[in-house]
Amino acid sequence: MSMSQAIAQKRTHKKLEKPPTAKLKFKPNRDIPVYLLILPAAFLLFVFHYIPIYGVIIAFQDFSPFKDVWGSDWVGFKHFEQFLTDPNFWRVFKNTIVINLMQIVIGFPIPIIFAIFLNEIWSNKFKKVVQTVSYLPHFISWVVAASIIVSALSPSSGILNKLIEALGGEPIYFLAKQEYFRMIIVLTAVWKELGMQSVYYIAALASIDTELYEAAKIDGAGKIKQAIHVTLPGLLPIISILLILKIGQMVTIGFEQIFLLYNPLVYDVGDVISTYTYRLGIEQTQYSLTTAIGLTQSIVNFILVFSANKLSRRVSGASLW
Amino acid sequence: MVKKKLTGVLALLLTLMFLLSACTSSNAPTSSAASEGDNSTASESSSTEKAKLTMFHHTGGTGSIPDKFDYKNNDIINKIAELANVEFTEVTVPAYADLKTKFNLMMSSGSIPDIVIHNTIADMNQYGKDGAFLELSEIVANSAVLSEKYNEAMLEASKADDGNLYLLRSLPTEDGWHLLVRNDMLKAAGVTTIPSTLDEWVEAMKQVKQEFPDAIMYTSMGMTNYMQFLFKPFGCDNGWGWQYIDGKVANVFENPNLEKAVTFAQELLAEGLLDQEFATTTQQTYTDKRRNNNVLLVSASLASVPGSIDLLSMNNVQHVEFIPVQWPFEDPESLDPYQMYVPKKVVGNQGIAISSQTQSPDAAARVIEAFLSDEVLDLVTNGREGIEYTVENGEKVFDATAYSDSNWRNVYGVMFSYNPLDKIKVKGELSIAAMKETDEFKEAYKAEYEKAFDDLYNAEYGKIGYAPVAVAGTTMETLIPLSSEANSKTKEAIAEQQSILLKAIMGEISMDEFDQQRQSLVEKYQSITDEFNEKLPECKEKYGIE
Repeated sequence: MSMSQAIAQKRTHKKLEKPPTAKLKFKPNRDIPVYLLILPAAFLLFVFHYIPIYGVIIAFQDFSPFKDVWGSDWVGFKHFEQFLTDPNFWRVFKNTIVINLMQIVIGFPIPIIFAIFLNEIWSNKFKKVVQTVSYLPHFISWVVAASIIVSALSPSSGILNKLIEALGGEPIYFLAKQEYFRMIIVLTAVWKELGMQSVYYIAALASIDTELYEAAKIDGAGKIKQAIHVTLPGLLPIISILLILKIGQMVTIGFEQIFLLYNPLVYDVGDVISTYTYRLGIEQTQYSLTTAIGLTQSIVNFILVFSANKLSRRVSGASLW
Repeated sequence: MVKKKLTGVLALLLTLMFLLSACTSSNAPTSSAASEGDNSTASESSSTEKAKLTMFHHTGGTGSIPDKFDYKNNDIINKIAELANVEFTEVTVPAYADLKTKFNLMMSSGSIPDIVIHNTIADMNQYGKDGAFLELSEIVANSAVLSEKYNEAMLEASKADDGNLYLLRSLPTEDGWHLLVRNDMLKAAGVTTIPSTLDEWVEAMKQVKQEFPDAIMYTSMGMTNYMQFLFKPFGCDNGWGWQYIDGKVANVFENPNLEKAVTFAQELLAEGLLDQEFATTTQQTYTDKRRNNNVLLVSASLASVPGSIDLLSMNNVQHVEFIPVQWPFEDPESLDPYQMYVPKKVVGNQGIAISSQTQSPDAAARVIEAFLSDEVLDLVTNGREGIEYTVENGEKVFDATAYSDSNWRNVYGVMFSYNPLDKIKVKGELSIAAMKETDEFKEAYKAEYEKAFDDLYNAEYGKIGYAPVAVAGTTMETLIPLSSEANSKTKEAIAEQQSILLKAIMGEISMDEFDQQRQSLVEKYQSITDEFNEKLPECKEKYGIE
């Protein structure tokens, strides 16, 4: 029997072994405490995510905080028209999409590869050290991380430029160069979130049945083949879910990282929807316009996550719902 | 069974705890200035009839304010409260760098303190039009103090484009933006005469750079602030915004000298005379560079000379001799006087407004009067008797160290635009007196400082009248109130101007591309230029501008 047949049989076998799902009967003594535990989270979700939804109304008004939501003038789709005809909006929209795509292409697979490599490390002590070191940047705020990045990339005193100079090159003003900026954003995000994102995959790896690896080994599969034929298929559901969630954020990008690292020299490639709405909303107080942009973002994200979920269910069988 | 019950009870308790903590409103003071350990009982009992007011104000960029400084309880705010017969229950003073964000967030909440002091007049007027502030005409008319301090022109200059008076702008000062130089570095490099032409300055910078290879000859916060040395010598102001030339308001990008200014900046950068990292320098790194490196030239307001001396003195940099000098101009004959000199000011750049939600408009008006009082001016300028000075034979004798240590007093000089000229000069002299140097050094430096100050003042002040628009520091000052739409567009326009300038200086775009981009920017924001010029005749008539 070939390795793939063995694995397929094992999977089928496991599927058959799965006990039939029975409808659970509600038992107050057992279930109420559990529901009560959910209640605070549900309450906070309701307060902070559902109640504010009524605020989208101001996208259709010339909102003034001093006239209140119901006292402000209704203007229909004026603000939607305004941003959709603004060339600046399409510039930041393009930048948002491009950076997100780069993050998917470059940033998304790296934690998966890292988790797989980590899984192969025999020494538990070394594994823990690597894991801890990789988590650490996640707990640093972007304000601190940005100052580290700015220092590291400084053309006069940055470590990277010192290295370039030592190798005989000319220092590069990385943060002022359009050709580097997007890549800096993607790679620094990878550096900061690599450890934390790999946690999902490490957890999923732990749940892969070790018998599958043994079966593969018996069939003569080396490490690479095991990774391709056992590990990756085992990770597929979590990869699908995280990818769907990532696609659902395609027209959204974190604000702090870009805001703290960009400068007028790289506006053309680095200005994204969140920094644009920050300028419009906080600096220019155009609340209705920014709400219109935010609402459109949410609708586009919803459509994307819905479509990605459907596609994923059809292609891989894994889906969010 | 017991375990299950216990789990249930714990879950219930946890839930209740979350719900209670979520629903309980905090009574903790929200003000960053909330006084710790403030013994309020005594003051409450003695001030039961005093109106209780809240206030939002800023530090005016005043440096060296002690950590955890109590903005709500100190000698000067207490004096203001006493003069106005009020009690300040909450005083919010954000860090200066966060001022704009905190102000806009506060305003968007719809909950406004009784008194608001801010430095973006156009934004305040916009909020005024939206109903945030009281119309002050009647309050001014009924106040002897305000009527005396504010003439018709000053009130006009404070009004929004709808003709209403939502705020009072601070009293005018003569303080303008200049070039400050480290004369000690010039001397060390063998430059014994202060350069006067642009070429002489470049030559001097080269000499100093040779003497101090690690020093920075000139730096700025990208195009956001402190960049005047790159543009002012060519009559291009800050390089961005709008300026008044030949009797018209024009986009700075229309200025034919702008290309020369960019080329000059490119040359400085190529020769290492402009900080290689100026494009990404933030306010904090700018201050750090000044504190830690030998920065030869600084573009700053006259009022910041004493602060510059204090900054380096406190960092134990020895033998510093900061002096203000005149702007060098590349071709002074070809420039309009409005491109060269410091204009007169009708009013200052600060605005004070009374919330439309206030329960005590009269008390709030009394606070404005108190801010404008001679007592407060004296406290801000001279300090407190027995602390900053003593009186001997009828003369004030200052303690230079105590005077510099209580720099925070400036914060309350808001209605005097923080820095009356007399105070700048005295403060500079006292900063020199507080230096850890020999008496001989301080005497010599003081003489040079006073001469430089007077020479500069005589050369650049009083040459022109009011300017309809001008740029100072990070903001545009305008006597022409723009419509809400145009006001909003100017911010986006300035951001674009700054980006194009930076790209051109850094060589990211060619000069042809620069020319193309600046022309399209002029066209894109032509409506703002048109609005300025449509309203210009009225402005000229109102303020007697030629």
